[in-house]
Amino acid sequence: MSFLSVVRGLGPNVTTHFRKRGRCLKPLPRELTSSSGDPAWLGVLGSERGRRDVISRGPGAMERRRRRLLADAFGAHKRRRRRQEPEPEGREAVEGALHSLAALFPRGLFDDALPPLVLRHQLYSLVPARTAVDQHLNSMKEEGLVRLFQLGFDTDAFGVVFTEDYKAKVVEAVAGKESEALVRRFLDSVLTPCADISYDMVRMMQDFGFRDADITQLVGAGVLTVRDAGSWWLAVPGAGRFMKAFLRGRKAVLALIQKARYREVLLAELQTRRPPRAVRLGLPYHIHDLIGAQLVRW
Amino acid sequence: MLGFISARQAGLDDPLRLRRAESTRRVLSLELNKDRDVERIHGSGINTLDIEPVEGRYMLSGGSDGVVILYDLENFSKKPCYTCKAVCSVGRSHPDVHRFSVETVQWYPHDTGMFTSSSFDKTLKIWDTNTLQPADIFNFEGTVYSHHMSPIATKHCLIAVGTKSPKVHLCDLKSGSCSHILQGHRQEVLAVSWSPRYEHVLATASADSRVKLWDVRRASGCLFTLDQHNGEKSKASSEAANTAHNGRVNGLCFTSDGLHLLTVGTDDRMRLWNSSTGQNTLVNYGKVCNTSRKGIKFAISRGCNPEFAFVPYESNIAVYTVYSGELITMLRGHYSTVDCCVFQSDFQELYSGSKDCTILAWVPALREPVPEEDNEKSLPLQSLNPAYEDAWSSSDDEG
Repeated sequence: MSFLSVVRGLGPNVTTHFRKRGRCLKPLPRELTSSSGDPAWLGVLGSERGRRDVISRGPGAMERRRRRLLADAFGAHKRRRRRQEPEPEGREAVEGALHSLAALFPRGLFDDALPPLVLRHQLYSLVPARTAVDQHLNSMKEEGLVRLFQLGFDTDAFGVVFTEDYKAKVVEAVAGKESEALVRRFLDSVLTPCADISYDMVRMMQDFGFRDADITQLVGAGVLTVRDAGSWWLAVPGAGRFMKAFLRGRKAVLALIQKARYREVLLAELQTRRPPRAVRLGLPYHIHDLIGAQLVRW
Repeated sequence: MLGFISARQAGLDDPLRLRRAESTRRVLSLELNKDRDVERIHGSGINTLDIEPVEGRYMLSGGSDGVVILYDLENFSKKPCYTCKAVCSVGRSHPDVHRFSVETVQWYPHDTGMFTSSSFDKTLKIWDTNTLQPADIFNFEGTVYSHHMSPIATKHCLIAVGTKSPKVHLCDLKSGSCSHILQGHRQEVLAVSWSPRYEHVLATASADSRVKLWDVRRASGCLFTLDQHNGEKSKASSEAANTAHNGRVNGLCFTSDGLHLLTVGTDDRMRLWNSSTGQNTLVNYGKVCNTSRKGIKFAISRGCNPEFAFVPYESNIAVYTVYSGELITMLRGHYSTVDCCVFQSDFQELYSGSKDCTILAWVPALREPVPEEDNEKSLPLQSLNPAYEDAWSSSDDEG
């Protein structure tokens, strides 16, 4: 695990390079790269003044991608008949990733009142092909397998919940209250047919036949959240506690990495560390979140 | 490679296929080369670069000190080690030099006799290359962020100018005055670009998060405004309706066939749009760091398969495949923020200018044998046929 020394303090016209030795060609680019074969390091993005350590993912996804594209460009390899291996970007991979992330969600923490909530960008850390993940997730949403929720702290952050879990928890939350019948009606008539994230006044009143008083009750039950005058987001009842714990935990893990030496932490070591008290959702959940949202570089 | 050549020789393959494959291989192996350098003359950050479309030989660069320099990229010395020298320059001592930072330079699309430069001193100057005198000067009320002249236009000589005011000015070279104004944006216009497919279609990007496509022949407003949610009002909050990004839109680039448009914004996102319908193709490039308050100029490759986008990413250049959104590599080499990059499609070279006052040339690396990924029992290296070894060098020797 050796690091090449930092080329600093030299004028910009001096490019240090290695002499060609036999077949090994590449002149050294002008900045530090960690040699291939390094274990994965997590480093904090952000202000890069001062120490600027470049971290690579080992021989890494980028190199593999380059090689794959090179080979594809030439069509050099005949397509061998392989066994039906699951593609790394296929639908099954996305579903598997969703299930494994949902398993990471601590159900008991909120007295089992919340369905397992996964953030969309956590999927990107398990399945690196972002566009493919988006497409598969959209198709799953159209089929009604999952629902997407606007979580409120970031315009781009969406929460993903399996529809059955969501319905079960909503019914549980509202059981025995007077709005129960209304909520059930809402779940059956509105949730099932249309897969949207938000609803506005016109649609609610005309298409689905809810009145103002009904809508107020739904907001009170936690199924809808106010977006602005006359439109509402679909919401998970009781998600406020989750958001608070999540944001606190995210900040705590980021602070952990920031305080580390050189602002980078070995991933394997981070996973074995004891999580700070603010982290209530579990370290792996937050690690997937940070990697997927590209708040750290790994 | 030999397979490609023999297939082309026998007529089994289209000639274009060999060219595309080799171009792609060369772009994938872009790196800094100790043998190629660009002469360092600028005393401050470089904001813009442009390579002339006729021969791909001369490059213009505009700096934050108002200086415009013309480089010759061609290597006529018989040595592989070559520094691209400056042919001439509009320096600080020139009587008509721009007073403030030059934001955009562009060659006249049809020959190298003329070039245009626009600057923060609220002027757009048309220069005669041979005498280095301004042939015409257009004055505006606000600082000029960007200008562009259509590369394919034969029926008009309009230069679209984006300034601090929300109006897009179209200046006519023939008459020497500002002939049209396009109204529709609400804040300053940061980037403009003509379509390389239709000579009357113009795309403009503004700080109000909107990107509009215009047909300049129409008297009424724009053709359409790009909407990142594709009309699904449910996804956005209502004030974000009809916006291309959730922040200022900094950069615009059409793909070489003009069918798609790439935009980058300060919300750290890059989006690919279908330029004929205005639909967001929803390709996800991840986080594309963008902290520039002015425009950034990025480039898209031409003649490769898949096409690559070279986007300045803090002090590196990120290379993405355009249609699938994968990050291929980060080109590291600059010491400070990269502001602009241009792609020379004849030799598959990339030139990038940054705030550290240097222009770097990224040149395809010398050929290596294509690695056998999945065949562990591949031939040991020393028994590689000398016919596979590349006798060409990566720098360009003429003749």
